[in-house]
Amino acid sequence: MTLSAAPPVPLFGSDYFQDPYPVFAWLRDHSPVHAFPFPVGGVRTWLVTRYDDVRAVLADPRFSSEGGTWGNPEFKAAGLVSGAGSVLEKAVTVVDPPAHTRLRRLAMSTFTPRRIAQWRQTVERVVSSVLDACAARGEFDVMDDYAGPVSSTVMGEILGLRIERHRELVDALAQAFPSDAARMDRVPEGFARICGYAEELVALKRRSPADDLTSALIQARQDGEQLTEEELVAMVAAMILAGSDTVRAFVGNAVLALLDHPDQARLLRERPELEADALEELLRYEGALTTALFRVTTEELEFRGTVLPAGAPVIAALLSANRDPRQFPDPDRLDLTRGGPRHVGFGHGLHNCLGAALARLEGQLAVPALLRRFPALTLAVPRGELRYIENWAMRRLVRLPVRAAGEGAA
Amino acid sequence: MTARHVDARAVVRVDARLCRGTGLCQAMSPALFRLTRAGYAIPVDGELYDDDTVRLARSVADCCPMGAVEVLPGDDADATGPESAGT
Repeated sequence: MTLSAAPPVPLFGSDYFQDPYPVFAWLRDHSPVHAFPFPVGGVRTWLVTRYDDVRAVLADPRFSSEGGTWGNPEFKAAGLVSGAGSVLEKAVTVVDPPAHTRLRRLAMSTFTPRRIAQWRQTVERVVSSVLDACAARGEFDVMDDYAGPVSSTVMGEILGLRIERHRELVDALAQAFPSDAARMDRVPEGFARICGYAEELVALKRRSPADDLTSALIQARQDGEQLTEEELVAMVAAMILAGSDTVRAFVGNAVLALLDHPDQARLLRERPELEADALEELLRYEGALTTALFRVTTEELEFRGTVLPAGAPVIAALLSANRDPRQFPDPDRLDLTRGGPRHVGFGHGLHNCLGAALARLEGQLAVPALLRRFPALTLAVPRGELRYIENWAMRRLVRLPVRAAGEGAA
Repeated sequence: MTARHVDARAVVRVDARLCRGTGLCQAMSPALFRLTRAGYAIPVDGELYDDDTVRLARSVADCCPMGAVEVLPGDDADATGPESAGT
């Protein structure tokens, strides 16, 4: 591996965002622990792309999620510490044990079988009503008219957000995760608005507890411990931030994958018993997250022959790991019957997706339901016109316009 | 397979039907859990002898996103475990 080695198109450039897979294939073969300047602040960063290496990084406590604690001065100065200066700095996503264990146990204690059964009913009801609205339109955008309303309404209902707040939440999420790179300057305002909703929601549920997740988090107790006010707000905000746009992104990617592979879409319609395996393969094929959140090294260490200094930012490319031919034969083919080794679509290790049960529920219900409702579903624009947002961590289509009645329909 | 020690305080198990190989248990305690080649979790030993280890195993069980990790009192595990027959 030489220092001059460079991938076929620049990392985090426009071509990369539209199709990162050729870059990942090159990196896995030629520079599996790849040093590059991160576009924000030019901070020297390492990108890990092989399946085994991605899992190794995410399982190793020397790669910390606490950028604010372990990141080098350049990393901090560039503003790359997630949630810095806000309540989110203490969120479960960016703290290490022992704080992480405490937060995660308290959160998980609220995900009871009874509550998950309730969530299933909520998701089914929301999916069915949003499908009715899509049917009435005939032609619709999977991102804005289906996946978006399903994911944000489900999150709002589960947390107990007042219905008037739902539309505002969609707005705030669009601000926090913009489709247009030119609107990056409004991202902090989007995050602040969501923290504001979380704070308001926690205050409301303290006054009048109800049968929802926010009330359950307020009441959660484990070995005499409970969440502090700040931790509660961070937890609710993190759930909104991590659990809405990701589901929207994934549903879009899954629907497109099935439109691209009509034989697999037919298989899914004809064999509902495949739904669970199909979901795992769709998560492998193209999950919502291109990469895990930043890790930083807690000490100087050697990783696969590369010396990483202490405080070095490291990015684990989840999409790349899931397309690594060393792990998945013929990885670029969608095969709903694949089975076999597990994917890292929900990350790996300590910080693997806390809400995976809800995400799976939403994916497993929302994706097949759309295909069953509209068996002739086709793209309403040429395939080549589809664009992805220019975000380094999230893989999401800007729009996915489809026609319910299929080709030739008015 | 080693003979079950009579003094085990608790036994930790991973339900293979529920495990999705998230790696959380191994990351929390590589001494108690490891991942197989296929990527699924199994206990390193399974028998827990001291209170700290039992507490740690319970923490892992509480955090597992699939609810696949269970910690059973030593006696119960002996009485109901699938491996208990004949031991």
